[in-house]
Amino acid sequence: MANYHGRKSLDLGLLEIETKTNALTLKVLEAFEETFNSFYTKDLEKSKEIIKNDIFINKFSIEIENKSIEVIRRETPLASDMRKLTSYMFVSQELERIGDYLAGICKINLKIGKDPFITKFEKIPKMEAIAKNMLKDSIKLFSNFPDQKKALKAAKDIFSQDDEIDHLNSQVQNDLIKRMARSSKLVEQGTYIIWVAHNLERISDRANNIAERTIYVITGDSGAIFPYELEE
Amino acid sequence: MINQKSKKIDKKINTETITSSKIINFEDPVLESINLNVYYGKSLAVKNVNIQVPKNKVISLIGPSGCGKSTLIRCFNRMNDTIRIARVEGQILYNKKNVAEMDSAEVRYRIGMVFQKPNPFPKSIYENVAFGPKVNGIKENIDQIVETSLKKADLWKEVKDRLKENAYGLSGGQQQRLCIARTLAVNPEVILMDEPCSALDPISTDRIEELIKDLSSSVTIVIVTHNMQQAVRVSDYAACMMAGEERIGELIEYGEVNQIFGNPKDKRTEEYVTGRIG
Repeated sequence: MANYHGRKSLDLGLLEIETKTNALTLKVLEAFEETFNSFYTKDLEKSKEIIKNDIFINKFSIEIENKSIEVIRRETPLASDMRKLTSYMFVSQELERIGDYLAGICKINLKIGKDPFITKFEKIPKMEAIAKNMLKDSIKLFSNFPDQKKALKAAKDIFSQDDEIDHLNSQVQNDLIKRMARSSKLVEQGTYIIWVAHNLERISDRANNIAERTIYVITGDSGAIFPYELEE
Repeated sequence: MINQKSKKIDKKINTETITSSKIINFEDPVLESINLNVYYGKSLAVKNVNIQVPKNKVISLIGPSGCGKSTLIRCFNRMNDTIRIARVEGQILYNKKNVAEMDSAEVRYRIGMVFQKPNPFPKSIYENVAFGPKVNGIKENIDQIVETSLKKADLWKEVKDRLKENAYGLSGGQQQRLCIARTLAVNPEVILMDEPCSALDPISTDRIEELIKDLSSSVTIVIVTHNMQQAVRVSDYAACMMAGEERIGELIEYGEVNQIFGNPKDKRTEEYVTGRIG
């Protein structure tokens, strides 16, 4: 008769990686908050600090990758264990890239410097809120691994927010390009602000990827990574 | 705003249903068990196994100790006939013929077997391989059969200059390949392997695994293994067996190897392949 027994060493390895991933998520969310606070308030010193601290996010991501490789090598996992471990590596890289986009926004802040903003920022704060929400939701989904039905519903909600952010990004670009065409004085800062919107749009894509990856972990269907493409 | 992505994932929810998968029907299976029950004395050991084995593929039987893998594999070539208290119900078909109605010797050279521990005869390397053809009345081209079989078993280069030496002088890995050559000498259509590498070192194991992959272009192989990675490496399909509270073995899931080890449908298979039951 088959007896249930845990795999202590593998389970501890998974727990350690999960804990590190949660810690990395907190660091990224903190950087997210501080990036936009420093941007709107023109706190250039804070922006410099965030750029400097991005290295810790990078190092954390590499630590998760190395730990995952170590556990795979040691435990030769299969099925859902293998899907989780490869996905931790994937998600840590996505978080690391999000850190890069935030550092990029801080660099833009330094370039704009103390010059007054050419815009009242209506759409970018909306994009910021959506991107942050998507990131939180996708990480929550990835951390909890709910049942398939709940996960697909949560993923659907995340994907729908991505559509919204794409739409806002297009609006920011169109508005600023129109204004820049009318006044060459706006071109430099206008281009920078388009980049801020672009980075937010890319952050939302990364959050989307995390949600898609969670669907893969849960269903085991690699096609489900791109569920909407599959249906076409 | 049109929300394409959300619409499409709705379809995904509707179309994706996960079900337990026990039966695969092949067009022309070389082996098939139908409603197979095996008893040892009064105890039911294996219950209602229905499985088809496709031609020229490698099928792994996996599952915890005592779940009936060896019992099942031994039914395929009537090895259970040699166990006095064993009783088999149901049918085993070999190319649609009921093996119970075939000559047992014919069954065993059509469906050869390699065991956990290498078991060469206490004879020369040559005699070990020539034994089967000679017993089957073949008198001509024995040298050629021995050479071809040893080549197929990837042993020829190592033994061609010492064919008259006693087989016991070979290493464990070489002895196991000799046993495979001995099986191949009677030109079987199926080879059953019951944990063929469990007594071998990693290099010998690797050579047997390569051999299994090479042979599968012309021979069907059913292998019992406890080594999950080995099953992943060598098999096309995997069947998971499990015994419940009453210690009666059942087939719980059968599927393509990537599905069984990547995304098993049955929770018990998932727990077994991830090492959480056994």
